[in-house]
Amino acid sequence: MSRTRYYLIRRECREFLGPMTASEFKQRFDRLEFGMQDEVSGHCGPWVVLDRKEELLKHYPELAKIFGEELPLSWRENTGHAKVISRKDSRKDQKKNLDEQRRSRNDFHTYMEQRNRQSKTKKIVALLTIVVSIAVSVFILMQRDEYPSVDDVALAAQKQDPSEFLNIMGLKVIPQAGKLVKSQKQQPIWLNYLRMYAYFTTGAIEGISQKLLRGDAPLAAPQECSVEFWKRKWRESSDQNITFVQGKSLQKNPWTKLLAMDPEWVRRRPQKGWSRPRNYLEGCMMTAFTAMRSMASGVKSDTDVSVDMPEGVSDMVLNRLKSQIEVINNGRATQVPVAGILSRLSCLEAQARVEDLNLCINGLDPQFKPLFDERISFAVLRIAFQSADVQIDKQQLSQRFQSLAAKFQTEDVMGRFDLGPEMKMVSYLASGDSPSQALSKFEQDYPDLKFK
Amino acid sequence: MRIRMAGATDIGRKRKANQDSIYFDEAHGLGVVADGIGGRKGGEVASSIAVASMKKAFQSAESIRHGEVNSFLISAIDQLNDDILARGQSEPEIAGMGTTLNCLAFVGDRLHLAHIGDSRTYLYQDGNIFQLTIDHNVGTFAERGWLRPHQIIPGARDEALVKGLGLGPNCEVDIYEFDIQPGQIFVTCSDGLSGMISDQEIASIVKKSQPKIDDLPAQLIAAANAAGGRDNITVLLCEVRK
Repeated sequence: MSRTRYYLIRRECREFLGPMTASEFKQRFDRLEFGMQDEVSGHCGPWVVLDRKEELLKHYPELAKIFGEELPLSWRENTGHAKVISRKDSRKDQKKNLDEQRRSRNDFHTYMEQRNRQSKTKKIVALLTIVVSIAVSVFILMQRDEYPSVDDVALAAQKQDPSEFLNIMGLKVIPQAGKLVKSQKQQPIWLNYLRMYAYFTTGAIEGISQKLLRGDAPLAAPQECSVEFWKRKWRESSDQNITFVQGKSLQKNPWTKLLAMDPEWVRRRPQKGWSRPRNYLEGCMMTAFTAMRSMASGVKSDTDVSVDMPEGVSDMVLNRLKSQIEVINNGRATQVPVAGILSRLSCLEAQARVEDLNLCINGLDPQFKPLFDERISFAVLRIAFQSADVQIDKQQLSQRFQSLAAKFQTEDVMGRFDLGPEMKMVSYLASGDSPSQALSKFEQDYPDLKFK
Repeated sequence: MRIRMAGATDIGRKRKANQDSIYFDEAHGLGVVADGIGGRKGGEVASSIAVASMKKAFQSAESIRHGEVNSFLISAIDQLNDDILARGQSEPEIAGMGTTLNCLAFVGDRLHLAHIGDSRTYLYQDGNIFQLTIDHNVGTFAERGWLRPHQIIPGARDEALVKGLGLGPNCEVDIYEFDIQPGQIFVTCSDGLSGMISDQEIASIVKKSQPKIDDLPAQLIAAANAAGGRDNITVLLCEVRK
């Protein structure tokens, strides 16, 4: 009876998925359970990093075939070293390899070892070998244990101005970033600072995978949020983005989803392992801001990227991102004049009274109605908590969210983000609880979320 | 799910003493294999401290929740490393002793595997075998690009350990997590087994022996001895059952 071929995935050198068949491999890859930076091994085979196309073709052609045809762009050029993690399966192989290495090195140690194999001094050579091994171990351990101090970094991270933090990180920590995240002990200490550095700068750090930086972000969040990613995505769909920003049509792509994202929803969900930004999505907004500012300056000086951006578009995008980040950090946006679809969203997020919400949607193009219906519900819920004395028709609020929930089962307006906690809060309010009572219950149900 | 365990250790054919140590406890879901660093005086002391410390740590813990297992393992192994260093300081004749460690903790439906050194843990399932742990030696680190050529002392053997317990005040242990399923068998061994017979041979012996695992440690040890038995051989098998 033939053996079912299984494959095992090793994620981030610490967690395994599987074993799984080739078809399960494809399904689980599609579900984003693992990524191209993870490793795969087959029966008695070497561990191969998935984004190393040639090695994957060599060792696991059946896997390469599965998604190689569909995702050729995911595979990077093969430029690094140590791509295949080979194993010496047998003692015979080990001996052969060692002999080859010894022959090629032709050093004093090898010479001594061979000459003394048949002599009485064998024990001395063995002892020398052990001493060398110990020296190597101690030397390497000493090299590996030189970690920077976290105290200075922590102090600088607390300051409003991040320049000192970025300076310290850039000089002392970033050069060792790859080593830090490989260490089980060091990674939890440093990861939030590495993320802070990444999203205040380029959204990427050499030696750290985007997946690790991303952490347990919602499935609907972009897989990557580097500045380069946002620039690339803008170029790929600049016409769509521009028509969306100008309020001509509702488009769905990474940029428009980000710009339409409800910052209050993001604010409620601080992620473990994050401080500034408080979660991945805020980090995405920060790097998108950096990318747009760079592209906008490039357009003005004709030196940066070849993006044809009508006048005013970059300002509208930058204002929107600024407003979203402001809400995430302060809980409320600054009032802005309504001029364009993005400012209408920011307008909803800035209103303090339910009756003023209509000011933000006067003359709205009907094609944007689903998006704004959703956002008005969010705004009403926010106002219920920010202005506890305001009278709100709780049944109407409940109806709004029930309707929204029903829609989310079959369609999404922009992103498909989980509204379960918001629905629960609405159900408390609809049952007659005051905002403070509802909040108390909510905190028991969702201790990790910050509703107020 | 429950875990059935079987294990054994053997001096091999060439060594004068057995520096390996093994401990397993089905009730606590704990299995430990340690290989005293070859040639170093006191290797057997270090490996015995390793298994005794892990046993004590688990037996004295009232209960460990899922989310706390990894930090518990790191903390227990840090303490164990300190114990080995302290013992070496108090007894100069065994100063500098070291050991590898593979510690398997089954908690609920999850395996937490702590690993340092070149002892290995494999997963066997339906005729397939996978090496779960990464050997902490010069050869493997060089292949992975974790050691650059200039960091390796000329003449250093590929088998030379890069990490181990007792080698310094800081020990960087790898912790792996694995969602277990009935039918899986975890094979943990010292390099006296993995250095003598191939992964394919290990898989073949396990396959022939199933569903009984009680005799498997002896069979694997016999195969390693038949291949030369150049080092101490220790084997622990943990089978996941419904």
